[in-house]
Amino acid sequence: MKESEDILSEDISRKLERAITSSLIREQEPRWMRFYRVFRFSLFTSGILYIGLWYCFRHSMNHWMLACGLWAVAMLFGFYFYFIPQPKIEVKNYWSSWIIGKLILLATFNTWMTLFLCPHFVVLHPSEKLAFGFLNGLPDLYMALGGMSACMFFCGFTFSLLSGCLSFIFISKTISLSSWRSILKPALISFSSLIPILIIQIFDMNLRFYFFYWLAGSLLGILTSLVIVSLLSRVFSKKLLN
Amino acid sequence: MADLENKEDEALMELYIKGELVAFKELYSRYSTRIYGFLIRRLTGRHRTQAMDLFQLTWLKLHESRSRFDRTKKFSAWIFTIALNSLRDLVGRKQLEVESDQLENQSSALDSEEMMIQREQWASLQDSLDKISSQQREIFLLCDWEGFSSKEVAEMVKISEGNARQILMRARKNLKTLAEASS
Repeated sequence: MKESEDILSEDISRKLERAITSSLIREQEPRWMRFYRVFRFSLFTSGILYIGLWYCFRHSMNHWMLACGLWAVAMLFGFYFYFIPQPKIEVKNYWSSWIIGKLILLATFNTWMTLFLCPHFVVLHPSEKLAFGFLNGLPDLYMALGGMSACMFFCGFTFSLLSGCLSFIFISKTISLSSWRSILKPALISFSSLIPILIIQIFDMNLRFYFFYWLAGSLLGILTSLVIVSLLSRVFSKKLLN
Repeated sequence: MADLENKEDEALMELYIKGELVAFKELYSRYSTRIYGFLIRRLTGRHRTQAMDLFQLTWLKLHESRSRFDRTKKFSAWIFTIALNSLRDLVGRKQLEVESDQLENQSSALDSEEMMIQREQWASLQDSLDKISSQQREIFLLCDWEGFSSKEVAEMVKISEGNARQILMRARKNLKTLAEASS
């Protein structure tokens, strides 16, 4: 046995004690203050999303209205969970509502970001207002691999992988691949942020026949990102220990 | 603060449920090293690195479920039950059982030898603990190290009292044998 393992780390112990005591302090706060905070944050972030989407897709905004509404609800839930008084500390496999809220917010934010990264993403007619066109060649590459079906599958995979990695990296200490339950939980939470995109695809005449490919690619992307982040955090924590 | 130091754990827990910071701090100072010590002794090999996660998990679960604390029961038994449940959740029941079976086979060979332990051999107990089965180690640590009665331990690990006593006797016997062999 290593000697360092024998002794309780003072730093971690103090951090845990502080997290629990600050949670007890926050519990004294009136409930209306918490709800007001949740409402304020949700309104602000959803407003930014709406303005951004309206600027880019104003000609086909009908599609995006429902998605905006669903993302606003996701934000509301995310901030609600995030602000529940509880110890704000990350521990392996401990899924507190703070972590769940954090993941909902991160996944939603990263899904928006992917929309702005690829102009062809979801919509067949891209917005001319989008400034980031550096992934323009990607759909052509995927189309060459196997037409529209391959394009939808690989697009779902690429962007979910990207978004998943960016989300899970912030909660890497919590992620564990020890059981199916510990894999499914973050995967499903992360996947919930993609539901508005799926709805748009089902409503679109041209995309509805291919949405299944996108769904399969996205699920695979999320699971792959989970494995990547978990392995990376294991490697880095081992390096830090050594 | 001095007043709190004289209070019993259960009374402190009542105050902690009501949101008293100092009551939590007092309980934390009384039990943090004890819980960590139990976990580090309970785990073996590669699982030992998980003691810190388990320690944190125990306190977080205790905080989360503090309103469900049964006032008629002992606080110490309750926190150790949470620690044991966290251990099974994180390390996995199956892994603990496999480890237990393997060690049971190793130590049964020593059962036949009749040897006595001497007081000075307690120093080597730590090494011997790693060699007995997982379940024996758990029950031995809870009874002989932490001072719980076999009835309390039986409730914690969800087995019958008779079974707990039997496992404890077997653990003591194996430890005596191992200590004698190492000397």
